[in-house]
Amino acid sequence: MNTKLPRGAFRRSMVAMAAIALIATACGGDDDTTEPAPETTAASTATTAAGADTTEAPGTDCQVIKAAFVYVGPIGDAGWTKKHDDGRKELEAALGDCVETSYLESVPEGAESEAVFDRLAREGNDVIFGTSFGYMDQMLAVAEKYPDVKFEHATGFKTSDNMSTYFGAAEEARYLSGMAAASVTESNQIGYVAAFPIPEVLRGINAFTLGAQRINPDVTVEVAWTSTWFDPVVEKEAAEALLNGGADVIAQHQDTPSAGEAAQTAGGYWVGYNDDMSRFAPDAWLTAPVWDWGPYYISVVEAIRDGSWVSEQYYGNMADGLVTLAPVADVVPQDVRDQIQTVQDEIIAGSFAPFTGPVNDQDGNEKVAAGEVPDLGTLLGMDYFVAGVIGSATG
Amino acid sequence: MIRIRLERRLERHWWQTVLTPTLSVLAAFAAGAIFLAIKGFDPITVYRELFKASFTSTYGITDSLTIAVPLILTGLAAAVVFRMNLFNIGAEGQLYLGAIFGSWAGLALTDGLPTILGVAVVLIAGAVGGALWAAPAAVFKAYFGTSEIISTLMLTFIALYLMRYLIFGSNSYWRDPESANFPQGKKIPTSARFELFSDTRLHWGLAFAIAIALLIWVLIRFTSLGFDMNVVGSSDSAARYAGIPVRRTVIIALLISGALGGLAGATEVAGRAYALDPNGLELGLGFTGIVVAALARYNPFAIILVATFLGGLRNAGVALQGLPGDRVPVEVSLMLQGAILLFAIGGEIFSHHRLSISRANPAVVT
Amino acid sequence: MSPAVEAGPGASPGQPAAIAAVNVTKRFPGVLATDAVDFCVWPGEVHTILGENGAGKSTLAAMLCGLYRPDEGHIERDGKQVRLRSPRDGLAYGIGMVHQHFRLVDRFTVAENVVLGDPHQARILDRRAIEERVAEIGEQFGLPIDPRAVISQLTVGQRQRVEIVKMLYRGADVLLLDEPTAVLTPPEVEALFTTVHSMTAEGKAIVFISHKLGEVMAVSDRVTVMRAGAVTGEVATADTNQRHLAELMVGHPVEIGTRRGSNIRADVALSATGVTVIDGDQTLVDNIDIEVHRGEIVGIAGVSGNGQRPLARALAGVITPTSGHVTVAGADVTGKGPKAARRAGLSFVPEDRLGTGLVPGLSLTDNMLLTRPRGFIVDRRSARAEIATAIDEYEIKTPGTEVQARNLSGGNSQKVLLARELAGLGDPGGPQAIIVSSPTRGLDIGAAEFVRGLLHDARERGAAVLIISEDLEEVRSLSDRIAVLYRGRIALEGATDELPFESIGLAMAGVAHEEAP
Repeated sequence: MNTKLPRGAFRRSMVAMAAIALIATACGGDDDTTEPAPETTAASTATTAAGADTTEAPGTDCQVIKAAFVYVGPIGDAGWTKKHDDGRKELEAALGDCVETSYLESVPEGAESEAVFDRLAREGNDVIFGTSFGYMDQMLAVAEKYPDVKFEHATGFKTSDNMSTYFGAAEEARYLSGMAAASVTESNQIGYVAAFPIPEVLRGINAFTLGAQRINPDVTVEVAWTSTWFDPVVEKEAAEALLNGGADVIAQHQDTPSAGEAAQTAGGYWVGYNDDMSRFAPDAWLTAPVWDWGPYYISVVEAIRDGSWVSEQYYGNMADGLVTLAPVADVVPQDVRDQIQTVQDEIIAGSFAPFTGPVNDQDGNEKVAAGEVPDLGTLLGMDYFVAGVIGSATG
Repeated sequence: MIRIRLERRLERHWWQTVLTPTLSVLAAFAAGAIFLAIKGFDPITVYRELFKASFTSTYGITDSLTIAVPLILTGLAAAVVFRMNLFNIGAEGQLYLGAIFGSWAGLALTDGLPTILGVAVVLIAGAVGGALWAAPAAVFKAYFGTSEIISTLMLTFIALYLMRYLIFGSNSYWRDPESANFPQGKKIPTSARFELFSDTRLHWGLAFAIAIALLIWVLIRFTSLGFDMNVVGSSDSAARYAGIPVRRTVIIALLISGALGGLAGATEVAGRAYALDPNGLELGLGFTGIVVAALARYNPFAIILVATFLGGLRNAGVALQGLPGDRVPVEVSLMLQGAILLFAIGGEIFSHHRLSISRANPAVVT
Repeated sequence: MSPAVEAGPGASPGQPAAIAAVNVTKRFPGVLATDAVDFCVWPGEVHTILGENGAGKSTLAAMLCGLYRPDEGHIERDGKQVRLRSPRDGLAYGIGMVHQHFRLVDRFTVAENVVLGDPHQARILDRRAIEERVAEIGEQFGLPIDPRAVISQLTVGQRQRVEIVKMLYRGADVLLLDEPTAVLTPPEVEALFTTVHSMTAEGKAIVFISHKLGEVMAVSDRVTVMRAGAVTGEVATADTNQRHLAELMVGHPVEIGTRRGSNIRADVALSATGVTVIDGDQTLVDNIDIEVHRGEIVGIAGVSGNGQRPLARALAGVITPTSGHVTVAGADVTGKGPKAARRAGLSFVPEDRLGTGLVPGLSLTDNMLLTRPRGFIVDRRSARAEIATAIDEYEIKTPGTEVQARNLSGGNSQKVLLARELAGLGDPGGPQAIIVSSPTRGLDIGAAEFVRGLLHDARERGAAVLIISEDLEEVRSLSDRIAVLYRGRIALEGATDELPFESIGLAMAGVAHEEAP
């Protein structure tokens, strides 16, 4: 239906790019499971928590948890939805017969999704994962009708007794990728193709910029807004405009690799997003912040099985393994790669945070005092650009 | 020797009016079945599930009808002008404007009003918004002959970006200040929302859309304005000859069309989205309206049926993926809709012409 | 049967026919367009195909030039059977058709048009050689034409010459002329006939397609008359007369009478004073004064394109004249639009019946309402009754009242139009003045006679009738007075019976009658 228009806002990866081949992800596929299906000693304790529809898996003594995943776009090859589906496969591999997963692709956000969640709940799923922000109100409405079903909503902020949210601190990896970018720029101008001026994206740009300035204080980061998460043409055009303006490294908060193709064509460098996308523009590739949802999905289903599931707002990070940094390309000097590794170790150890003060905004106002680390709530509401970013934080 | 020719039909019987679109749909399903079979699916199973998902259970039927509501209105928006050979293909953008105006009115004006008044305010504002968005195209068409196809399409893109800007790009009146980390539309008060039918998601917008369809039928069939629209649509030159104000009629027709598109947006706001929600509105409902209108042969009553049918198809699209066994991609239902449009256009030829099959030596006819 | 049996005038005995159709039949859906027709033309002969619209003469011509292929029978060229798959094939056999509607590119020169689409033309144009050859052909056949002139600057008559030259340039020995005089002034018709005779003198065979009896008698050696797809007679012009040909055409004896008003009153129901229409830098209608009295028919004669259309539209209020005034039954309706003119008592039958006078996509009932006042809600009942009555009275052939107007033939749509525009005739609120453009164009003899009867009747019932027509015969047969329109002006005016035919012809051609010999 939507073929005439650029796909809707907030839809993570929409149309599959047909020409792109499947990616073998770092997070593993179906068959590199090292962990056998866990011994299900907890079976007897889980009945009450898992809801009435729970059935026994044939041949095992574990309860089968039915988990449904609702994706905003097609799984495609390398993007937001693909990473969630990789996570789903990890879940299946980890729990074997004790979990039964299903998924629906290309479910539009907003009002129309309510019928979809409703049906999944009616069909006896124990847990339903909605992987896009725009499902929030609909999931909440359906969650109210089905108190025995657990709802897990990625990127949202509304919760209820049976609805949790989950997301993560991509800014940690973005900070590291900014360090890599700053080490290769010659013009000291980095371009950043970004979807919408919302806190999540602003946070990423700011972290990236702070990381870059750590390596080279003269670097500026120019932002081009695209008003879309997924539009190869628009993203490429935005990247080209930035490259023409003098940038020689392109970073992105977008779901396609087309900015990387533009960078490669122009002889520049590229920081991707979501996944290791190096194959799309190998000459330009530096690194990328990468999501790994599998461990979280496993923990949720296990919590349901053992009855320990509670509604929460999960915000994962590099320490949890939810966020990682793709291997840094060899064009980044060895000493910078070593520095990145050091900072990453500090972040994981909790001894460093990207927004450790002093942080000033574009106008020179102090936003974080020297030595302070803002709390999560402050970070989630970020509405400014740090000094060194060129562009408007309101679009 | 057998000859096969297309001949122009003199009169169209009512049963042809029904038969042609029905055959178009069947042909589209047949083409879809071939596609499914090639892809390795059992067409019978897929179609049965499709039907089951959309039209058997209470949820299925009410969800299909819920999608039908905006489709009836965008279908009417297309029909009312397409039959005049005025191609307003911008119902999509007019829908967005209807949603922008409707949600503004809902937020600003309806607090404390009785529901029926509150909803009326939202709908009127939506109609005004849609009409305003069609107005430039109408004026350019009437006075400069600018192609309304181009102008309404361009306006659709502007509307799209305007709507996105209001929510994602600015702290506008429409944006919910509470939506800290992700911009969202502010919810309209319950006094501006359509009531739901019991515990379904179907709302009274359905009755409203059907009433509008009736109104449009009366307008076209019985009013002088409708008569003028028919004349202008069929022949400019005859309209001038008869002293019918061509420009005014063209403008009014496009404004009505725009208002209908705007109503579609307003009913979406008052019936499902309850806010200016770009994600929930960018569904291509305006463009689908063109398919609805074409398949319904621009007949307001047929539009109600066709909208329900396409609503069901759309509703089933996602459900098909959940079939046990092989997954049917959501694209299949989209492909079916495309095929139905194609066959509808093909059917158009057969409703105006008939196949004449004759032997080489007929009796002499004069 | 071989057609090469009897020799016509100007033909050498024993020589095969230049072109012949042998027993050709062509069917269209529901119509037998030609039914086992035999037809042949000798070299050096003008052979006319005469018939009314729909008689099959154009279909026959189309088969002769390769546009259609016969369902049965065949075409012979110089006695040998040929298969013509396209007009291009026809030209390869030396058969060329000059269509009623010219196929010329307006912005190209004469010479360019002549070679355009010619398969034998070399890829690289030798302009000079082409232009010389075009001029040479023109001279040889009395077709003076400047090879370098751009088509858009030529008159209709000159354009027709270009079409003929084009065919001759490509080596056509058989020329088919489809209603060639329809667009010409009387002097141009004369010139065309001279050309035709110089071509036959060179041994070319000419097929002349027409329904105008006078011309047919003047130009042809032989005439084949067709009716309803069949040949009803083949006669040498020397052995026949107009009345006989008309009978063969129609199938029964015909009377084309001259009628005049019997009761022309003093009061004027339609008047134009100083009406001028300027479009851009073109003056289409130039300071025209007309008065039409009650009980009178005034005919506007003239070759098409001399301001008839803008004049009619200005009088009827469809367009506003640049200056001047129009009054209907004493009321000034200038620039007040068609509705005001109608309220004052003016009816208007435009030349374009289907598309202007009638709305093709509307039912007959709705078409009856087109020029009527309508309230907020349209009342179809009375209109339906009215059209039903008209269908009976006017013998309109239609499957019903709710049929779209586009499905009616020319004659039947003209009847519907007249039924609407003449309704209420004689009533105080009915039409006082009637403007009718090209009342019978394209109608068969029967329908045309019926329409002329209606107009005569309207006059006798006290209406002021203005007829605007390119058919001079028709204008003369009905009008009490005639005005000749040339380049937007009235070039000649007077009582019909006092204006010599020749002066009218000269005025139509733009030669002022004072200068006439």
